[in-house]
Amino acid sequence: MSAVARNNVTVIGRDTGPAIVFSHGFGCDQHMWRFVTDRFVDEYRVVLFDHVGSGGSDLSAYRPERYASLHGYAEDVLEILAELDLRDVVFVGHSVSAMIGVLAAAAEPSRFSRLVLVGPSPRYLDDEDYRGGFTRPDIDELLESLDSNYLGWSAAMAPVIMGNPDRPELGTELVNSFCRTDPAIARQFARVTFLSDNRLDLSKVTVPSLILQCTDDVIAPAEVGDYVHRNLPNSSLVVLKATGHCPNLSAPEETSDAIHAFLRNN
Amino acid sequence: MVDPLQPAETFVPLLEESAEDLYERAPCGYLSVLPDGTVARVNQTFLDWTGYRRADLVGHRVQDFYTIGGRIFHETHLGPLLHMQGEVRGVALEFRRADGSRLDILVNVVLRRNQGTDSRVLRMTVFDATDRRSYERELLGERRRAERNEDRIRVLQEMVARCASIDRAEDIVAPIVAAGAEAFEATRTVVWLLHPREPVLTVAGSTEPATPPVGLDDAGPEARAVHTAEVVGADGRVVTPLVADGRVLGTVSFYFPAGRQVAVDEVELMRTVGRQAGQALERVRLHEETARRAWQSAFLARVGRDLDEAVGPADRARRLVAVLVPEIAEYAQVDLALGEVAGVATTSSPPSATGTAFADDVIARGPGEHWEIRDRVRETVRAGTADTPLPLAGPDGRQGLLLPLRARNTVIGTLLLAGAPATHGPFQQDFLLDLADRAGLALDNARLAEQDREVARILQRSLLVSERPTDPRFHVATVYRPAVDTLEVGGDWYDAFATSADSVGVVVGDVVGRGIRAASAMGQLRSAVRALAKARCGPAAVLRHMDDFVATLEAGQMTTLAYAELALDTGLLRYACAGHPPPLLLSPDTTPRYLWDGRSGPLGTHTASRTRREAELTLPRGSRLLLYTDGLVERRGERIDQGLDRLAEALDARRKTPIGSLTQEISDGMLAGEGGHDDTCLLALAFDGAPQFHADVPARMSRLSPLRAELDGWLAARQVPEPERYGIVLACSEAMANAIEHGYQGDPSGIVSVTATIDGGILDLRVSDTGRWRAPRATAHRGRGLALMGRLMDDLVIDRGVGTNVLMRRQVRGTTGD
Amino acid sequence: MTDERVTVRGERGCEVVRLRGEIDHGNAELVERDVLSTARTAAGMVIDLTGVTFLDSAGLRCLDRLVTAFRRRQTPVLVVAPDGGAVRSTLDLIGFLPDLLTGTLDDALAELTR
Repeated sequence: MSAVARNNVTVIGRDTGPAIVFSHGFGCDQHMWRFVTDRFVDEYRVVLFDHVGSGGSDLSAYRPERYASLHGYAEDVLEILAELDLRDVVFVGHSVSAMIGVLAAAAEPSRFSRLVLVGPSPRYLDDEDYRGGFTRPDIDELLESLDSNYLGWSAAMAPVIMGNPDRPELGTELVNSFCRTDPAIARQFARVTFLSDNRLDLSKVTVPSLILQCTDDVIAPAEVGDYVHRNLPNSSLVVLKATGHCPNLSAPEETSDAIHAFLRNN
Repeated sequence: MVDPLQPAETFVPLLEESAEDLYERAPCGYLSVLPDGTVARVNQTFLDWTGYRRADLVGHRVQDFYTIGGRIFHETHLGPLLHMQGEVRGVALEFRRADGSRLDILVNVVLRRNQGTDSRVLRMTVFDATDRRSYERELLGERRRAERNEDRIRVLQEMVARCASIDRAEDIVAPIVAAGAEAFEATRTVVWLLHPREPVLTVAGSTEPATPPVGLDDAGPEARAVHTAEVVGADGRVVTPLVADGRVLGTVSFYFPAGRQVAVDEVELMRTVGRQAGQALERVRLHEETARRAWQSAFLARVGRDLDEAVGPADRARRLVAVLVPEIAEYAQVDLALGEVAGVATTSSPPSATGTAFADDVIARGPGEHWEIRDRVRETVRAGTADTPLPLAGPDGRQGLLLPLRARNTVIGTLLLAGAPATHGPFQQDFLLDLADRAGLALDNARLAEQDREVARILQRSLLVSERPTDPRFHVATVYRPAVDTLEVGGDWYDAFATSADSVGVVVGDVVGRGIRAASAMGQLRSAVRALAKARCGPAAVLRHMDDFVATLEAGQMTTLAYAELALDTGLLRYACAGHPPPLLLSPDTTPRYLWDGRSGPLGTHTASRTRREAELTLPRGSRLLLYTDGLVERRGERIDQGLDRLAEALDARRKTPIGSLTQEISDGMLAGEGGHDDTCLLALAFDGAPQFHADVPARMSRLSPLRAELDGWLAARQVPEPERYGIVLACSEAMANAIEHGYQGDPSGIVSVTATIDGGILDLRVSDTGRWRAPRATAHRGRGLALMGRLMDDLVIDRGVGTNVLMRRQVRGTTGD
Repeated sequence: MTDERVTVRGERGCEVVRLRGEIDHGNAELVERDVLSTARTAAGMVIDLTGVTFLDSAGLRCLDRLVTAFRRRQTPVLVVAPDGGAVRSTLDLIGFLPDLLTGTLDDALAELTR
């Protein structure tokens, strides 16, 4: 199966323009870029996709051993670029996808011209002097909650438990029409994401990069952004006024402006 | 009475008039949150549920009151959804109460935009989902347990089905191990089987490093499970007994990682595993036992049959080894030194392929290094009380079992079995002991028979006088078998002697009684017959004189005998029978027939005819005449004519058998299976054709010389004088050289046959090859070879067909019978 | 090797070739080769068959060729075969030239050195 089909790739915008790839983070799918892409379609060839296990990706392509680390996701990105025959792309990665972009760019630098890392964190767990923002018990609690399937999807659980899973309307109606995520894969993705440690991969990136750090991001705190900035060669750091972890949704204008400014200057 | 389902109008206005109360005391929590999460307003219900004061919440971010999981969910899911959809419903979240405990809720959130100002607020209604969540948890747990048990039961059913189809006990291991892994996630599953006789448990099936057996006095859970017949958990494993019909056959140990809790229903399932597998094991063991017994009894019967076919203890011992290896053991060794038979191993029988006459004290052994058996060990076995095989360690480290070979209440030797399968337990000791007993008896019987033959040989030697005639025109072969059950010398005898230069006399007689008296009488009678026969008065006259002789020899009275004289020049046979079974004649091209003429009563008889008669007939060359005593044809429960028929058939079946082995074969055949209560004599007289020389020689010139010497020797034995011999040999050599050179053209794989006969003073010489004659160039020397042959012989015929026959004839002087 | 079958020695100026045992198809060619390679040119040549116990047509051919070979060397040849012996009778039977035959070695040497 092709990577384009597997990852539900969408290409919009100007065919002849330079390529910009938007990669979603944990918990959502390519729809999360809907408020941002408008600002790029006139100038750029915009590539959107879903990570395997999310959105409209092919769930049957999910193999635990391949996606046991972020490298599997980075390979997917490289396969998509190879299939579309794209080079020198601008890669915009949100949250965990920021690190996926780092891994991909380190592996095949020629594919990338610039990286934009939105709310990146090379490691969520605290480690000695490093402050990731989460303790191990925090993460364990999260994983346990996800493992127990008590978050988010519980409204749909009762019928499943009662042995009547054939009511998909419950899933769509009660939860949402966006950000579809297979619960089992989401659990695994969370585990891979929140237990990953990609600090040593930062220095392998050679292309210019932009770090977009939100104010008050509980998932990627400011000091993590600083850490990335310090350790990522040739990087710029922009702190957004936007709060939370998803400036692309909560502050799409500010986010797009920052990306545009970076692309103009680099 | 107030109906609670009917609105009580008197109360409604009081409370519902107050929107404030409706908000604060609503049956759900209510939060108004700014887009960045700052709590703007919260109702009392939420405060009551969470235990916070209003001031704790208002002005703070709502994310801070989630659990970590809730916080991340909010950031990664809820927030994005609200941005995209403007509302979410029925989403599960977890709050952290003031006391740190968790509050499970369901939340509906709506994003409200203030027209014009673009200010936004999130309105959250929060429903307590504690009961629902715990119900869900229970349901989920139950469902998981049910699914798990369903899986387990399916796995166990599979195990039972697999167990039901096995037919070897060791095959029980794989299904149990599979069940352990699949049903209980055991990290390792080990099946222990209780030893059938000893109080130990051994690991069944092949395990990587051999696990030592565990005694039942062990403190571990396996031994305890055997004692209690109950499931025992200890030391990181749960052990269930393998039970069938209330008996414990072994145990199954399921190993688990530290901290694994084993639920009550799992224990019940493990018990079921033990019962089901135990029953399967019992069934297959019964099946195996039945099959084993059938095989064992068939094997014992086969051993008996096979050993009966071999003659002599050494041959039987070798046969025994051949039968036992490899079906019973990898190595077998028969040692007969214990009884009185040391030295029997020196019997001249050639070693067979599977056994070797090894040392004086070892009769036969199987493939591999010889096991030295120490005297002390032998003594132990010899003591004869061993009712179990004695375990031994061999030179190559193999385990062995030493079994007593018993016969007639004596240990006559030992049977050593080494290596699998004998030493690995598939055979019951009883079977091995039975086997040794069966073999012991067969070997001892052979030993006794050997002794009998020894006695017979001595007797034969004394009977057959040194002046036994040697004449190429006839052959005599004899066999004497003493009665097996008494070993007492009987009164049967045979004799053969020349009565003139051209006649031979043969006699077989039977003196009544046994022992020294009979033997002594027999000796005198034998001498008398011989003396009378040489007087050339004929068979009837011999008998008449014998009547007179026994008149003075009381022990000789009622002796029966058959006497015959053969004229070697004419083939005229004269014979007479005194109360004796008739001679049996086999002539070429006819079936055997009994000579019923020339009969009269036993010697010295007063009740039968004393008119001695004789009869005569002319035998063609190639005839055979059998004289015998009644022991050969008498069998209990059989009429005498049936015995005579059997003898005739036996002789007819051995027309081609050389005379040298004819008597032994007939005797063995007639007496097979007989107790041998009577002694037996058998004499065969062969009236041969003309003396013949025959040799098949490889087509090599180097073989000419030995063949010439052989032919010359044969001619010399026939009194052909020297110069004639030289000529005949030279002619033969030339013919052979031709065959080699021109028939086979030097191909050494060819065979040249040389046949010579002398009959009536005529030598016939035939040299044959099967080669393809290639006409040589005519040369002087070749012509010389043919010329030599032509001049040396009276007649020369060269017959070329398939191969070449050279026929030469010449009159010879001074030959026997001339 | 023919070992004892062929011995050659000089005697009274002649070469005496003594053959022994059986000369037949199996060894006649070897005997011929040995004699020809051993015997030196001399005033006369004696082939002594006294010790030969058997002589077949191959042996006769061997004799033929030896006599021919020595004659070619201009060497007079005599063959010794005792009267009444098996070999002599074979030679007689086949018509061996009586002029070449003597009964004893002495006779042969005497004749050659006369």
